[in-house]
Amino acid sequence: MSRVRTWVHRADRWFIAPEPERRLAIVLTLFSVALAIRIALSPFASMAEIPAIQFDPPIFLLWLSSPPPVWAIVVLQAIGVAAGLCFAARQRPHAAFVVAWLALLLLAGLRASRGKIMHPDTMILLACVPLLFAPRDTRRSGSRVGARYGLPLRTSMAVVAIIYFLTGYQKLATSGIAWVTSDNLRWVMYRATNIYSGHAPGVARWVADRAWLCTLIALSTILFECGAPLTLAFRRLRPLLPIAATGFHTMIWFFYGLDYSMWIASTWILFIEWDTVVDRLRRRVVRSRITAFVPPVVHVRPPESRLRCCRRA
Amino acid sequence: MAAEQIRVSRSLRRGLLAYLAVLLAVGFTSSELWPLSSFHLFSGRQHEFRRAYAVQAVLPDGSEQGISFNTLPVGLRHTQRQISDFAEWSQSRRDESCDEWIEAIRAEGTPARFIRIYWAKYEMKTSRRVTAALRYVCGSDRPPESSEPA
Repeated sequence: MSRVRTWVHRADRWFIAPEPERRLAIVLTLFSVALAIRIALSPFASMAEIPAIQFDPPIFLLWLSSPPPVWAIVVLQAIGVAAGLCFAARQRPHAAFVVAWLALLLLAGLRASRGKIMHPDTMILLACVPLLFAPRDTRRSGSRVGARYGLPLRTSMAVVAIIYFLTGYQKLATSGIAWVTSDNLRWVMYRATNIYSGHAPGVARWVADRAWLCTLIALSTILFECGAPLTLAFRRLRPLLPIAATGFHTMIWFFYGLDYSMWIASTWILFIEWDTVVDRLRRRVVRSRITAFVPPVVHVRPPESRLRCCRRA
Repeated sequence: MAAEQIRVSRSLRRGLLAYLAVLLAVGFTSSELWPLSSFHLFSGRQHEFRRAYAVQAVLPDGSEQGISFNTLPVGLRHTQRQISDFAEWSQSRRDESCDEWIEAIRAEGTPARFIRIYWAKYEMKTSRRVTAALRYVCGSDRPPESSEPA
């Protein structure tokens, strides 16, 4: 019992570990820009074409009996984009972030109203939930460090890790280890060459013809997905998650034509310490400017005798 | 930079932990409450053959032509998933649903009359249909004698 209590206490400590205000502010800004881009570039207006008889909305849109007209969707898109940009411009940032998130929730909810569970937007929507409760006074120029900045940021990271873990867990729970060891992925690849609107059916067939490669890809997938929570415990592993996610989702896009760009974006936004990256870049720029103005130091080689006298016996 | 001594509110801490608990609970119980999901992404094991519904448009000369939902207008893509609910739907509702697909493929230039839906077995490697059993005939222009086969 005491061991369980210790683990719970450790987990609680992890969530409320202090984080810099700037890091949270940068994460919020990047997410607001990502929300605005997603809202602007997705074909949400086409959802007005969903026939009323086939309109099967998620629970929070059940009050709609048919999809809204095109103009209403376009207005919602405009509001969402404006809100995302307002956040970036620091105009009523907290309200702007909430509005941009709500706009994407409603629009992506419409897309998920065609009878199929749509996952491309779920990652960003769920990862942003803890950030809706970020302190209102968070500023990009701020220098404070505290648990109140750490809690939403770390909960958001935990959401991403949990989602990846669940995708891996479901594979093992549904198909067992045979998901990796059997010809499962070969058949998935063969199917990709015939059905999905992938970008390289020839390459998919080439991969499918090599059983060892398919097993290797399947094993990497399970290790990546089930191993995602490790990045929470080990800070040094964190940059690996966005890199692995980029490779993994790019492969899915390449072979199946499925767009998981918002999953990639969420990992890059949350698992890279952008404030540290910005500081390093600034330091490098300042250093390069200084060296450009200061005359080079001429190193005069000391005479051999002097060096000899300084050497230890 | 000194760490702020202001404590985070207990209600926020509990609320966010409850959110994570809900996320895990939905995931482990395989529930779907979009955007909350159990994230079954390619989780089912694939074999040499797979079973799926084959939606065929019946042309005026009686021949059949497969409907590719990926090429339909964006609002109609993925709507074939609703065929799994057809068993619970009335024939008139099925007709109404199929009419939407017929209208879309007619707009593309295919003179479809009505739709036949088969429960088919496909070879994964070639996507060739191996067997097919007729499940539904739908569309307001379907022949009067045809309805739900046994």
